[in-house]
Amino acid sequence: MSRETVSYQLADTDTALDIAKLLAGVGKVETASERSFKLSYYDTFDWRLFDAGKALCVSQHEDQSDIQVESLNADEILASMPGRLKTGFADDFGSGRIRDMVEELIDVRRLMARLDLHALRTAMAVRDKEGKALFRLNLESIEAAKPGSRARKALGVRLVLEPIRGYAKAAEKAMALLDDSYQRKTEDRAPFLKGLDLIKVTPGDYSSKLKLHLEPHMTAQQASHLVHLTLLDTIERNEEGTAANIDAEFLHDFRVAIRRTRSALSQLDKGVLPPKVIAKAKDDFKWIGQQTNDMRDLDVYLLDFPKIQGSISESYRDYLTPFKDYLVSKQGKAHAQVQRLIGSARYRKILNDWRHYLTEGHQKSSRGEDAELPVKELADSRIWKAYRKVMKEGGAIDEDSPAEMLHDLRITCKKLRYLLEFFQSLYPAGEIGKLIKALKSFQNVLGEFQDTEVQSNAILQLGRDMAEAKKAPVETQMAMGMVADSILQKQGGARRAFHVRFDAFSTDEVKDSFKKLFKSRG
Amino acid sequence: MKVISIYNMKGGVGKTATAVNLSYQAAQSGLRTLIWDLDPQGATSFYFRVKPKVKGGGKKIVKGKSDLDDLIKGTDYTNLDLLPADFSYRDLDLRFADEKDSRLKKLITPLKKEYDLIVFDCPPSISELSQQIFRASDMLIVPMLPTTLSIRTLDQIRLFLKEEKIKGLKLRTFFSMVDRRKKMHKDIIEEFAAKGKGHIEANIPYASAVEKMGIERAPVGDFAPRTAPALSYRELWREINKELD
Repeated sequence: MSRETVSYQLADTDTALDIAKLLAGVGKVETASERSFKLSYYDTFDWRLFDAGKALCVSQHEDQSDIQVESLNADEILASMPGRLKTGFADDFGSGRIRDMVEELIDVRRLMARLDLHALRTAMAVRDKEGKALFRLNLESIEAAKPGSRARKALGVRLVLEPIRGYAKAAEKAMALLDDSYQRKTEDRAPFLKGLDLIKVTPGDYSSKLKLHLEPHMTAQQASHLVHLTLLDTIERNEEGTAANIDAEFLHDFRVAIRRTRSALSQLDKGVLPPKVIAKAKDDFKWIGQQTNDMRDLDVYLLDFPKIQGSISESYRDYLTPFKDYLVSKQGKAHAQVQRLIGSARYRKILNDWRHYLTEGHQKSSRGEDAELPVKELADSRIWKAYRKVMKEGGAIDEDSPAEMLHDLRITCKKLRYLLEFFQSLYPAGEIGKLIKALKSFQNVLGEFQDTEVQSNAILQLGRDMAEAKKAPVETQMAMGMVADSILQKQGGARRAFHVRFDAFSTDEVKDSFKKLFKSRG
Repeated sequence: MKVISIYNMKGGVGKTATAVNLSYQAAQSGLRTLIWDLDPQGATSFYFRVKPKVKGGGKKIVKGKSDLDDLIKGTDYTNLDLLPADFSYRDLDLRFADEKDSRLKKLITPLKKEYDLIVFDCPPSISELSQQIFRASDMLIVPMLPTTLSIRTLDQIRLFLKEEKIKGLKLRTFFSMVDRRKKMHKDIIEEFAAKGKGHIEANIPYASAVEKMGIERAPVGDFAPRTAPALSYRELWREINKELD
C-alpha cells in the first residue's frame, strides 16, 4: 500500500499558486488552506527505532492527533493511527500495526521526546472529472526545535508528491512538468534527520553495548584507562534517566557499567594499576553498586509481573494485586535511595576523583609491573587464564554437586565474558563473536538457575514483610506461595539444561578456538 | 488479515453505505483496508469516485489471469484501497460455478501481506458467488431493517449456511435505517436485541447525512464527521473489530 513519494526543493518564494498553474493541464488542482502541524519525534534513549531505520512521530493539528511510524530511508509513512502518547511505553499503542512494529524494537524502554518539527503545510490534490484524487501534493515549510523549546531553525521549503495507487500516469505527467521547473531531491534525507542535525543532536550517540576500540600496540595501562573512561561515561550518561526513573533500563545500564568497572579492576588491572588505587576503587564501586541493588530487584519483579501472574492458575491471579501494590511502593522507596546516591557528595567525589586519576592523576602515581606490556599480550594471558578456570570449575560439577558450585561458576563465567568484551576489538570479530555467543547461551542457564533460587527466597521474604506490615491478606500469601513454588519448579529444568549446555561449550571446536586466539605460543 | 462481508440477500437495507462507512472507519483506525466492490451496480465504486471498470473483467479474475494487485485503486483516504466493480461481475456466478468452492479464498491470499482487512461489498442475491464469499470470510455482517420481513431473511441465510456446510464463519447482525420515531422500529429492536444471537447493539439511524453520500460521494465520516450516523458507524466498527480479534 506504500507509495514512493518524490520531493522537490523549492525556494522560500515559491507558492501553491505557482504549482497549481504549472499542473493545470494534468487535472483539476484543488488547494486547501494552509495548516500548521507540530510533529513531535520520539525514540528511546539508545535510539532503537533509529537503529532500525524508523522514526515515530506524533503529528498534531488543532485537536487532531495521529501517531505515525516513518521509514528513514525512503522518507515515507509506514503506518499511522489516531492518538497520542500517554506514557511512552509500548502499551500506548493498543493493538495493531504500530504496536507490532514498535514493541519488539523498544521492548521495555520508554520513548522520549527527541525533536519537534513545526510544519506549515498546504495540501493540494489533483483530481479527474469525477472529482477523484489522482495524486496529492504537500507544500511544506519546516522548522526544527528542541522538544519544548521556542528557538526554531528553518529546514527549508519542499514540495512532496504522493502518487495514488492505480493512477500512475497522472503522477508521471506531473513529475515531468515539475522536473522542468524544480530541482528534484534525489537523496532526500528524512526531515527528522535534518532536524536533528540542526539542533545538534547525533542519533545513535548512546548504545548499551560496550563500544571500545583498542589497538594492539597500546600499553596495558593505556588500555585500562580507556576501558575505565568508557565505562565511566556510561555510568554518568545513565544518571539522569535513573534519577528520573524514565525506564528501568537506565539503572540496568548504570549497574552493568559499575559491574564491568569492578570486573576490570580485578581481572584487567592487577599488575597494571597500583594496588592501592585498585583497592580503593573496588571499595568505592562496590559501595555504589550496593545502593542500587534493591531498586533493580524491584524493577525486575515489576517488569516480570505479567509473567509472575501467568505462572499460577487464573483463578488466583487477582489475589496478587496487593503484592504488586507492595512492590510498587517499595520500588518508590528504593528509587528514592538511588536518587539520594546520585545526588550525594560522596558519589560525586568518587566519580570525579576516578576520572581525574584516569586522565592525569596517574602520571604522578606509581605503576604496576605489567603497565607497559602490550595490551594484546595482557589480554591473551588474562582471557586464557579465565577460560581455564571456567573449564576446571565446570568440569568438576556433577549431578550431586551443591548449588554453590554452580553459583561460583556463574561468577567465573561473568568474568570471562567481560574480559572477552573488553578486548573484543583486538581479535577477528567473527571468531571472538562466536565464542562470546557460545558463552552467553551457557551463561543463560546458569543465570536461570541462580535467579530461580534467589527469586523464590525473595518472594517468601517479601511475603513475610507484607504480613508484618499487615498488607497481605491470607489469599495473597497463598498465591505468593504458588508463585515461589512455580519458580522453584523451573530450577530442576535449569540444572538439567546445565549439563547439556556445558557439553556444548566444551566441544573441541570451542576449545580449539580459545587456544588459537588466546594461548600464547611462548 | 481478516475478511468481512457485508451481505444481505434483500436489497435496499443500507448494505453499500455500511460497506463504505465501515471500511472508512477501519482505515481511519489504522488498519490497511481493501474494499472489493463485488456488486455489478458499482455503487461503492461510485461513492469513492472510481470508475466501475476492471481490466479483463470478472472472467480473467476468476481464472487467475489478472493480478489483483494491478487492479487495485487508491481511494482518497489513507489506508483505504478499492478493487472496483465491473459490469461483467453480473456473470460471476457462472464463472465461479466451474471452480472449486475455495476459489475466491485462494484469489485473495496473496493480499495478506499488504492488508489487515478486506471488506466484500456483496450483491443482494443468494448464489454460487455468495457461498464463495462466505467461505473466504471470517465474519458475515448482515444489515437489517427493523421490520418483520427483514428479520425473516436472516433465517434463510442461516439455513443456507447450514445446507452449504459453511463452518467457522461468524454471523453478526445489526439494524440500519432505524427511525427512532417509529414505534414499530423501537419494538422490533427491543424484542430482537433480547434474543438475537450475534446481534450488535449499535444501530445506524435513518438520516439525511447517509442519503447525502450520493451527492458528496464520500463516507459520512469524511464530510459530516460529527453527525449521528458518522458516530454510529464508528461505534459499529468498534464493536465489530472487538469481535474480530
